[in-house]
Amino acid sequence: MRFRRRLILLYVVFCCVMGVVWLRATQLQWIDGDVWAQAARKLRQRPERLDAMRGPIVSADGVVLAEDAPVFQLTVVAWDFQRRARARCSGCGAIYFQSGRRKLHFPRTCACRRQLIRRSGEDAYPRKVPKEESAQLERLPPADLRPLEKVLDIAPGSLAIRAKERVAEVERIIRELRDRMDREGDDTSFREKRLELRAQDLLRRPFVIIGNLPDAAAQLVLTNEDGTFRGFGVRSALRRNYPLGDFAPQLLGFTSQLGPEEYGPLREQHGDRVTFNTRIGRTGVERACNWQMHGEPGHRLMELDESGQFSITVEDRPPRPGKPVALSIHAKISRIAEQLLFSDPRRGPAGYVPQGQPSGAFVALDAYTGEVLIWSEAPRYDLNTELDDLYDKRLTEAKRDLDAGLWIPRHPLDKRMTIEEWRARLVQPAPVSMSRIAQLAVEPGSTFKPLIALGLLQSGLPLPFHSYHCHNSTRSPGCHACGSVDLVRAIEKSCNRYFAYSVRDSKYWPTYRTYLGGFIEEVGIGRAPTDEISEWSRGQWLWPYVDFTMKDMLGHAQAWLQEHGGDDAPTLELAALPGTPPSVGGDPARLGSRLAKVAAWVAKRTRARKLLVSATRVETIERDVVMEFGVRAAGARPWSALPGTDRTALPSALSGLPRHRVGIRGQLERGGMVWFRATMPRRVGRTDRSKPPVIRPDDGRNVAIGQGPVLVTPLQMARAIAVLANGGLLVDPHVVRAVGGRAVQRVPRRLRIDPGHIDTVRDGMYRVVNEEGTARKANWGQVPATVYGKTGTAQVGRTWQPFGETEDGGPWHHWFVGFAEAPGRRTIAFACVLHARAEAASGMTAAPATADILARWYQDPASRGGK
Amino acid sequence: MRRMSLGERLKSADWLLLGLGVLLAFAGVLGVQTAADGRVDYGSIQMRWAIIGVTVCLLMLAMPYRVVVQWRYLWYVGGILLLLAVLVVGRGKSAGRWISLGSFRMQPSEIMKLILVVTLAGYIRYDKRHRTFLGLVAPFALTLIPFLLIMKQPDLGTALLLLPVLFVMLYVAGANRAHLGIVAAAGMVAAGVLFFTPGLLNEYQKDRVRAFLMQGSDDTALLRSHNHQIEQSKMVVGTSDLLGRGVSETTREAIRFLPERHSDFIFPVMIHAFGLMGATLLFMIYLLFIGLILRTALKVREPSGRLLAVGVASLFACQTAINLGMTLGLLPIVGMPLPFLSYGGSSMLTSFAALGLVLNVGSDHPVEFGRGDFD
Repeated sequence: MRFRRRLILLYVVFCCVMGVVWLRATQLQWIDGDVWAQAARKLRQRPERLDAMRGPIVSADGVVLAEDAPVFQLTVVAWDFQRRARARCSGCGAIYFQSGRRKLHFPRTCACRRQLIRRSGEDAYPRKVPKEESAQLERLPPADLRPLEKVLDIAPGSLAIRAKERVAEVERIIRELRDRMDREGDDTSFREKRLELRAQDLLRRPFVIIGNLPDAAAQLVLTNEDGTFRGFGVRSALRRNYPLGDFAPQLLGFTSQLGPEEYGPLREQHGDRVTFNTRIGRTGVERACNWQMHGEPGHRLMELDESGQFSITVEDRPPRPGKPVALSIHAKISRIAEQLLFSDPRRGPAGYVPQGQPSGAFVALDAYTGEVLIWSEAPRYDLNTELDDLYDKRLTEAKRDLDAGLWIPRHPLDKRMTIEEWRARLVQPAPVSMSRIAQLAVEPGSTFKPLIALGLLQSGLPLPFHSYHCHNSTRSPGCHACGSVDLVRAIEKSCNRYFAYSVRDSKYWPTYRTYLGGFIEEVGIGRAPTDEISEWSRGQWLWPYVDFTMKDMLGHAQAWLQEHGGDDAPTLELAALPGTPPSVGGDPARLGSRLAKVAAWVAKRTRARKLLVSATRVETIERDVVMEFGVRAAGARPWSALPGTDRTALPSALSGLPRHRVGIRGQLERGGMVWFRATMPRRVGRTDRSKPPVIRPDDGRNVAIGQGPVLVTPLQMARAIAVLANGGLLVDPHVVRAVGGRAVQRVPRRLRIDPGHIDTVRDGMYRVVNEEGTARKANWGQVPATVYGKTGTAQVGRTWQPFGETEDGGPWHHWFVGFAEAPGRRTIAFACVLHARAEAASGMTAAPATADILARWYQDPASRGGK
Repeated sequence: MRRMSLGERLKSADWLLLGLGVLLAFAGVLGVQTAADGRVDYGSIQMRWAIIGVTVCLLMLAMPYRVVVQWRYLWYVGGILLLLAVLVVGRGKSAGRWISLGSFRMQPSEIMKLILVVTLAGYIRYDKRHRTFLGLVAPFALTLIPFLLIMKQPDLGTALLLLPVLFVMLYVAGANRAHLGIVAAAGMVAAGVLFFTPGLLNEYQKDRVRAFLMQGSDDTALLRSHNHQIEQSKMVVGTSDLLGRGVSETTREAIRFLPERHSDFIFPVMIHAFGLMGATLLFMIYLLFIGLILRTALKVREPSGRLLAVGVASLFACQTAINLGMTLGLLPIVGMPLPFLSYGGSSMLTSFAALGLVLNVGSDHPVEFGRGDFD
């Protein structure tokens, strides 16, 4: 009976369990049914993001510079590409595609195979059928891609190579996915399935290999029916198109898709406007006006129909296109300026051609509003075709130029920089992608003189010389033997001696250099022209002050002792001798280690735990300062300096130094010290950007002639010169005139400059062009306006020397800056620079080029109007 | 002892029980056909296995069950060897549970379940030692060896199924409830310790338990991925109605995101296709089916036959309860097929073989029998 009872009990338990299960099923269906139905519906729906068309960029003369355009893209699907080996059935003649890596096998669809199966009675591959009875598969040669390559105008075989590279990349990712599956050893079927699905998805997903496919090529692929282009596909997409190709690429900038690490922060900031497909502007106007041009993406919700197709539209919100951006630049005249500047054979020998094409720039802006009107520069690149491999290209080019010893845009004046460091720094910037107008800052040369002249006049102090006699001297390169010159004539003749020597010899020079430091900055030198485009360079005005304190140096020495000093060294205490100046200059890491070695040696000899360090400036050589450091044991009475040095006992770290650089003064045990000297750059200019800059005494001569610690972009020069054109207004140069139809207004700032002083400088600049000045030989007759200008021939080179010790020879930057005014026409300030010319004659290159450009400008209706 | 002839056995077999088994198998074929994604014709394959299963069932009916029980250790050793073999040559997309024999993949753990029932039935039948505490050691040892080997594959679901079967068999064989309670409590404590001991359970197994405990939460991607199957299953059940959507495209569309829908998760497919009414009918069939097996156990006086029937009943009952509980989110997910319904050759053959044994027990009435009913 007990058995029966127990069985019944078990059965009752089972019934109860089944009852619970039934109740659960009922709950899911009747109570939670709506929730699940909603969830299921969501599952059947597929949201689609509809990317908005990015707003176009249009020039002032109505030329579309950038727009989103539907394009065809050539894609490759890894799965199909791997199976593009062709085979023909000898039985029925059908062509099949297979993986080239494996043995050929009959596809299931082949009628011959079915016949063979029937005959052999097998349900698998009919291996037992004698060869002579069975249809065979013959391998065919690979499909000919040459017609497509011909349309695309690329080298034979390169299409397959590109596709293979992309497929190899996909295969690598899939391998990684599968490795991950193995490594994690996880068996959760759905997780594994999910990874496998991702792998499968990658295999079947089209990847773009050519972003902008010509229509003819697209047609060729789409209409092909014999499987020649198996693995390749065509899809349409929106692509940023730049109709003028290589017009001002550095200014317009480019867009690219978001990176994975960018998505999160941008999504937080801009919400639904950002999707994985979002392209954002990376440089130039594309970047500056990115969110205005971005538009609002649309949204569409599709639902599955009965046949399993997403054909039912549940929601549809069309995308809103981005706003158009109107630039102030006149594309047509800018294009002409490019031709005149860089393609005109009259420009003479081009000198160095660093990037395979000449380097230079011409920029003109409205002197009263700051609108940039003409923007021409070289080198350029084609935004439609060269973007993808731009990085590689510019890197390769930079390396090539470096190896060939060609001119490089800029190198630092630090003589201690090793060639390796220099090379490393040179490869870093992007020479091609760097705008010659707004980013590449170089020495302005003599074009800086009008600004210096204005500064001298504005300082309110008497001029250094009312009249100065400039005589010919072979020891002064660049001397034009101007004879007797005053300030106006010095500008006209571009007299280096007037600006360099006379200024230096003036008793007011200390006041001048203090005033000039601030004044030059006030007219926009050393400051970014505008924050409109963040990449625009602020150039350089006086070297940044790099200085290290005694405290830093002792800190480094202490750290060195902790790490390398041996058992006793970490307990050593280093302190500055009272009276030691806090600022010692130099590199604290390099000097700190040397100091630590000396300290360890002194401590060992004297058994002292505390050491005192002194630092004294013993000599100043041009830009350098020689410091003498002394280390002695604390506590002992300082030994009075005695001549005579015992070098025999010096530690090995110091014994290698020359006799005059290191020694022992006195007896260490009785307060004597070990001393060593170090030469370090004294980069003095300004300690703090909040304080006005002061010209270092030694830099005065160079600054006065636009050399040395001053680097400017043409845009900055045009802006500064505009101050002379408009009578003291500092304009904000800008290229964006309107966004979405709303004008962008920028109010110029009035500087406190005496109009009389401006007139004096203008007089000098007038004479440069119209009388006996350095630019007189250009054809100014063709320009229906009064032109004021200043030439400049700035010296660059590897072995830069301070003024007076310059080596002859190039390369040189040829500058011509100025402004032009005419009744009823816009007053424009312009700057022209031709980089790295072999001959030192800017009056023969930059000035004539400017004259030609201005002549064309005044023929253009855009030049009308203004003040 | 006179053996019954084959004719007598066939005559006295419980054909209703076999009919219910066949009915379930047919429903399974229908369900699997519905769940198939079109790439593989699972329905036809399942039908083939069902026919083979019925044949196996009849063969088992033909062979006297006492002979089967007599050779229990032979089966047991064979089963253990197969489980060892699966550790060496085992294959499977998620766990190494199968041995490939040409185109057929055998799952030894499925067979081992039945072998263990036979072995335990033979061991316990005339023994009273299991009524003492120490006497439980031997049956537990017999169970724990395959348990550990199956765990090693790893196949937690099948391994855990062996324990309730053992408990039920010992319970009906007269084991002390207190002893069983102590062992069960100790087992639960041990399970807790094992769960938190690193390296003993795979992470995914722990994740499944965690995911079960945190149902509805989507705190982490991991839990989301593990809850996915339960959520999908509940969704399929929840979106059906009283009479179901039938075997139609709509049903196929609704279940397309449910993983393993043709095997372990066949029940949501059935309930979606045939509604709550169909599910209720299915429950009734299972209840009747288990009830008939237990009736057979009550009918028979021979202890090993009784134990066999009870063991098979507990096997089916536990499998059914765990599978249904798992698909409805009442239990964590383990790899557990629904008897007769889920796709799988090994499962189908084992189920029919077990059914054959029960039919055999029910139809084979020995003239003399041992002692009473474990009193």
